Amino acid sequence: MTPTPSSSLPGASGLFGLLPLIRGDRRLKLLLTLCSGILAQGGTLATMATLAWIAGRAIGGAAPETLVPAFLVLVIVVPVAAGGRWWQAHISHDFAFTLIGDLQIGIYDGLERAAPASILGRRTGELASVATGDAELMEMFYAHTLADYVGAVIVPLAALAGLAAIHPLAALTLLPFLLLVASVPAWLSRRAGREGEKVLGELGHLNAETVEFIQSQRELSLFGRGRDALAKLMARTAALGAAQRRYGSRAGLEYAAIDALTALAVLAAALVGLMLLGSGAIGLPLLPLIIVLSGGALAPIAEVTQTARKLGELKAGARRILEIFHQKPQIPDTGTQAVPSDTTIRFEDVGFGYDGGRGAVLNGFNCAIRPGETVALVGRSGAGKSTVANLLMRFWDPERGRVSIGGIDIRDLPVPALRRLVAWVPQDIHLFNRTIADNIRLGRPEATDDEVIRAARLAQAHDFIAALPEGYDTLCGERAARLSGGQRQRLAIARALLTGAPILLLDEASSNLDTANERAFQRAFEGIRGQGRTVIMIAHRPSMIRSAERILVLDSGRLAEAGTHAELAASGALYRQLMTLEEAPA
Amino acid sequence: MTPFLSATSPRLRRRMIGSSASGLAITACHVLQGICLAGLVGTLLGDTSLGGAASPFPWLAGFAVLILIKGVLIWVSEIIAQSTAQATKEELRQRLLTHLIDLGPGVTLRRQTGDLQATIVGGVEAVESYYSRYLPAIIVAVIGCAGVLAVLALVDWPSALLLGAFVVAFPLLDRFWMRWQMPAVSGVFAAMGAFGAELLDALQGILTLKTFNASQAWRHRLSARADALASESIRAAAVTMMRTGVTGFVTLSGTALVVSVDAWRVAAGELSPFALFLALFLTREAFRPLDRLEKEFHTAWAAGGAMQSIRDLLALEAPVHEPASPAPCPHRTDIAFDAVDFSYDGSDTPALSSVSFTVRENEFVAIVGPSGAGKSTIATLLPRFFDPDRGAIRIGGTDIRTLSLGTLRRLIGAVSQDTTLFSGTIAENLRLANPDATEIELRAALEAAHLAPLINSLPQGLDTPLGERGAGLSGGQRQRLAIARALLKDAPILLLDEATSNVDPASEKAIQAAIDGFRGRRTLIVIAHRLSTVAAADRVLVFERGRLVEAGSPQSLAIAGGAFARLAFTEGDVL
Repeated sequence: MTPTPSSSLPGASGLFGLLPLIRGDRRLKLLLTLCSGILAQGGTLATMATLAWIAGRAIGGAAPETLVPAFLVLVIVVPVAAGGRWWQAHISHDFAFTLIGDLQIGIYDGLERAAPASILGRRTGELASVATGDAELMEMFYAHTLADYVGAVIVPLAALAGLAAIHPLAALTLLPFLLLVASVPAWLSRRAGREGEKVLGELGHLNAETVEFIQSQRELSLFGRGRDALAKLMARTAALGAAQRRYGSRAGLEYAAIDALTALAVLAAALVGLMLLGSGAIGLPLLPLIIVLSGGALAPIAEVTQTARKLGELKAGARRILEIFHQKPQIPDTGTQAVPSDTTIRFEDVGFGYDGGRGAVLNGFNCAIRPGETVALVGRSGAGKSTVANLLMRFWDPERGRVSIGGIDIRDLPVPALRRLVAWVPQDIHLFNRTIADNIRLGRPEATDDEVIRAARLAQAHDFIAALPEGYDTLCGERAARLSGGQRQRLAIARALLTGAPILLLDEASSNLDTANERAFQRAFEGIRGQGRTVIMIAHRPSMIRSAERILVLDSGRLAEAGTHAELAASGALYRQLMTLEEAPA
Repeated sequence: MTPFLSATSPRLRRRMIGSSASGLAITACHVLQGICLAGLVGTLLGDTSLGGAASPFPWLAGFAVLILIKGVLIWVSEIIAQSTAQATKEELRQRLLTHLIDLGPGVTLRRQTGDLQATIVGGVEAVESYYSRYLPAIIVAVIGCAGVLAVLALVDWPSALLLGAFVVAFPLLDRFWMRWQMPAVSGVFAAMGAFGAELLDALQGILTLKTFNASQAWRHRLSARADALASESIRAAAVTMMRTGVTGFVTLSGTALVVSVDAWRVAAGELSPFALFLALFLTREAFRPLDRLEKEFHTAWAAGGAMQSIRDLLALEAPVHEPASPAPCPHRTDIAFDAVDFSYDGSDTPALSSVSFTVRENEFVAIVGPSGAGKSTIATLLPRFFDPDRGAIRIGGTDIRTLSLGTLRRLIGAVSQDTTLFSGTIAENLRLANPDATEIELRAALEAAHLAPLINSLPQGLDTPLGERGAGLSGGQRQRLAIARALLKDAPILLLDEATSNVDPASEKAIQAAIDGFRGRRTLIVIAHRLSTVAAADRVLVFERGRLVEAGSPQSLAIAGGAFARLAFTEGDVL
């Protein structure tokens, strides 16, 4: 048995699960990476073997001139081995760089298919940072570690073959050491896993408490408790250090074991070699060769076992990437119907539940929204307001019933056509790290500057944009303009208005706006109504709710009450309850 | 890479010396093992230079003992490295966190929490290897290589001389190569980092891209950028990668040349077989510390970015300093702003310009104005998170810069809009204000903050743990907890930042009750957003664009028809 990475190092298989994703000329690059690894490692072993043979010949009493052919071999082998190393570094980086690009785009595709569903219990935005980090980790594995694994398989095999050719007993002597060295990480693998998790856990605690420490500077200084918090954090650091020390001391034990086993293998090889020499089974020139081959066979395995401690992390990363790659689209995009001119929206007996057994969120939901109407969806959290929006956007399809626009089931419309009909202002607004103008243009890249400005004016965003030093060319990123929540919301409205979609879906943020922003938002909202545009809003603020033409009150996945504010205030029990915001104990 | 933890800390220096010593001892063991092996083989082959009849057993025993010693040493050196890492991290974090406290909330709250956290946690973890691995590796490389060469020289100086040339060439070539190629590589890494940020930006907004039918266009652009970047990186990296080939060539050709020359000399009868074996086994040892150093250099280099961010953070100057000889605590708590100017760093527009006003002891003053008028700056300057650029702030006639920060901040209780809670229990969060408060006092404070019914309905009551950053409580409930905390602290001055809008009725009542309870008994400054609050105030200060534009009783201001009247009129119920 020869140690292969997947058998000797439990769990490496997750990494090799990525290999089927490698297609086309990437395969060739992978193959070349493996070849270069063999050339580099084999070249080094061949150099050492040739040297040992030369030494053996010299000690055996050969005339100096007879060594010359072997010197010539060295002149060829040494540059080949060095060139092999260079080639390996080059080709493996080439392969890894291309692969990381493929993985990144694949992650993009997978998340695009899945959004807004959560994957692995995380929301897409949250997963994004983890996944891009994972892709970079893979670069490390494929550019650096993979070739070492190749060496760890090829070199011992070659050395074993060489020893067997000299004398079977020499090969038999090495074999148990090979198996022992390769199995060292497995000896304490359960403890290693436990200790590794402990380290990660402590690191998580330290991170969380550091964030708290930073964010609560004001409270800490006003209450004069900064030093206490510092002491607490230092205790966390010490706990992390203790966990890392335990992990490190076990790792040190492994290095020591591997080193001792390598030395023992060399000693055993020397003794067996001398014995074979004494019995006349081999000639003197082969003795140093046996010693060098035995030592050389173990070195690459020892090298690999040192990198094995990173494998857990890599494996988890590979699993996450695979999970994202295997995301199926939430909905089939097979509709071919033409876009209707009538924009009446109907939910007909719609039933829906998110998978995972959380039960039905919508259950027999019915409603019709006329073109040009302004409708507010209200209800307790969990009543199904956001789900109504999600189904209208076709992030998911209903399980029962249907959603139609102008009488056409939205499943029969091409998805891009549907999304041209409905523009969305989400609660969590994402502005891309581009200029304000680019962000507004997102849905209509061909829009002229005038159109952009008109949309911004309508959304009450023009004045604050014009007041920025770089105006519409201001970058929206973290480091550039810091826009307030209200300003971001108005940019998102401008973005939605520019698409010219006849239906606007507005998910109002429940967080506070300051007074100036609140007023601007109200003005923007007045501006977008009454142009024949249908406005559906998921509203929280009483002022917004009152301003709707019709209010739909949802309760446990059904339409419970509907009517104007005056009507519902008079007769809607649920509505009254919601609007007085009576606090129930949490 | 300049280390900012100089070896002044004896704790760290001891450990680094320990690391280097164990590293050297391991190198010595390797060398001795080589000697024993060469001796063993030499003796058995009857090498006369070793004394002919000598027994192989001493060599064998030596080798076996060395295996044991070296094993223990490797283990110990790993433990020392971990302990050095630990000491480094504790030292660095202590310094960074202390520095953060000195900088105060004024500076830290204006920075991205994520950046600070990355520096303090991840940055320190990354930099640690510089001290625990890289610096000791340098010492081992220098002394270890010299030692190996010296041993070889004792047996045969020409071999040592020849090998020495290659050993010196290794780091020289490596450094030369790195210096030559570093800019190209750094450029590639920077470009890759920029692309990663762009990809992350797109991924975080993927739902937006999807709903605006923009995801395919973005995908094409990202994909093209990724391809271009990969081929660019490869071109830039091609030469750099040669470095591995160059160092490999030095190692292999050095070894090959030394052993070949020695073999020739043995064959020609000029050298003993023992010396040849020694050269064969020791050349590898001579390069081993260099290999190790090269690897550690890689890690240390990767930590360069983290070093920079740590250094930047440590270089920030604290905006306020403790006075050398603090003045005694004032007896009165009237507050005076005297011609105060202030601008935040990096901002061209002043946050406050020549602001003067006084607040009498136990007066209730409401501060109003549009956002950006400077209201919260006043709440920032009073507890000295920053000092004014010009002018002075006095409490009871004493310039607050002459008070110790502890004394000053004991005078002030504050309730801010976004209160941070810790992930401890409710009781622990309350006791932040007063560690010695009894449970009865805690309950009284909760009662006054209209939070008692809620807390009592929880199965664990006061011992209910709050999630991260107080998760589990609504914004209004958090603010009420902050009010309870301020009540517990019982400071003579209360700074209250009223929530702007959308507060649940219970929280509103709690704020009202807190104001009523403090009224006439404490000096009370409220940043007000509600007309009802303002109407109840003794006096109103109206701010606009960093200036105090009006001051007076709410009634007189409303009649005067100035800025306040305009505000009150346009805002309706909500200011």
